[in-house]
Amino acid sequence: MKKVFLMLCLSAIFQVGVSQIKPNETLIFSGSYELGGMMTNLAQVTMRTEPMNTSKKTYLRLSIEVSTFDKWDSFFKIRDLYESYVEPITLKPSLYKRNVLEGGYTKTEKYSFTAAGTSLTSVASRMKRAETKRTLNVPASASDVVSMVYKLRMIDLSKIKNGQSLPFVIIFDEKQLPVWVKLLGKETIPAGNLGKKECYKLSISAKTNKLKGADKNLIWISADSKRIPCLIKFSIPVGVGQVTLLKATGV
Amino acid sequence: MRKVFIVLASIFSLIALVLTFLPMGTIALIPVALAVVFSLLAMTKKREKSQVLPKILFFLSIVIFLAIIAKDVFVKDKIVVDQQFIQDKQESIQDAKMELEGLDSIN
Repeated sequence: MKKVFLMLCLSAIFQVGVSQIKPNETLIFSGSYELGGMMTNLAQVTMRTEPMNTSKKTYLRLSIEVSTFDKWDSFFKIRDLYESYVEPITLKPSLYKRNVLEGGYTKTEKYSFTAAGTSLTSVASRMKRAETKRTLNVPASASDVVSMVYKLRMIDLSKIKNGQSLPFVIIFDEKQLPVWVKLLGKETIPAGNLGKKECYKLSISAKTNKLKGADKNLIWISADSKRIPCLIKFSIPVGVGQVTLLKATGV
Repeated sequence: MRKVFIVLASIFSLIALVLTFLPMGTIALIPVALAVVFSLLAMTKKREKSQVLPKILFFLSIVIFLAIIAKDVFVKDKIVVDQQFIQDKQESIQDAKMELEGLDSIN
C-alpha cells in the first residue's frame, strides 16, 4: 500500500506538462573554480535545446557544451560536449553522447537506449584506445546526466516539502548511479539577464566518490514556470566550483 | 629583521607579478597584499637606514595591485570561435541522426 502511495505521489510530482522544455532555448553560464580561496572564471557552459527530426520521429536534442575561456586555452583547454536525444514530452532518452577533451585527456561515450528503456548499448573509448562495447540492463526510469538536468526542471517543486528527497537513477561512466534530489527551500538570487529570481534550492547527492560533502552540491532553479537553472555549486574531490547563469534566450 | 621583510616583500612581489600574467583572476591579490605588508614593515624597521628598496617594493606592489584590478575589470572573459569544435559538433549531430534512424527502425 505504501509503495502504491509513493508511486502516486511521484507520478503527481513528475506530472508531464507542468513545465515543458522548449526547443531553441539557450542558457549561457560562467563556470568558476576555486583557486587559492578565490573563485576564478574558467569556462563557458552552454545549455541548448534543439529539435531533431528523423524520418519517423521528432526528438529534442539537449546539449551541454563546456569551453574554457581563451585565457585558459594555452594552459588547460577544455572542449566538452554532452548530448542527449530525448522524447520531447517525457524527456526519455534514446541516445546519449559524451565527447570530452580536458587538457590532454580524451573520452567518448555513446549510449543507445532500447525503446523500453530497460537496457542500453554503450560504446566507449578513452585516450584514443580501442572502443569497448557493452550492454547494460537499467531501470526504465534511468536517465543520462544531461536529460536528468532537464528532468529536474519538469518537477512540480511546489508539491514537495522542504527536506523531502526524490530518487533518480542516472547512467554515468557506464554505471548506474542512484541520485537523490532534496528540496532545501527557496532563495532569491541574481540570474544573469533575467535579473533577480526567486529559486528553489535543491541539494544533489549520489552514491559516488565523485561528489563530496552533505548539501555541498546544490542547484537553484527559478520558481516560475520557466524553471531556469540559475546557479549550480559543486564540490568534487579536486575542489569546489560554481556555474552561474549569465544569459538566457528563447525561454 | 628588516632584511627578512625586504626578502619576503621581494618574493611576494615576484609571485604576484608572475600570477598577474597568468589567467588566475584575482588570486594574485594574495601575494600582492603580503608584499605590501612586508614592504611597509621593512619601512618601519631601522628608519635610519636607506628606505629606497622598501619604497620601490611598496610602489611595485601598488602598481601590480592596480594592474590586477584593471585586468579583472576591463578584460572580459570570452571563448574563441573554435572551428574544430564546431566541426566536431556538426559531425556528432550527423552521427546521432544516423544512429537515431537505426534505433527508430529497430524499435
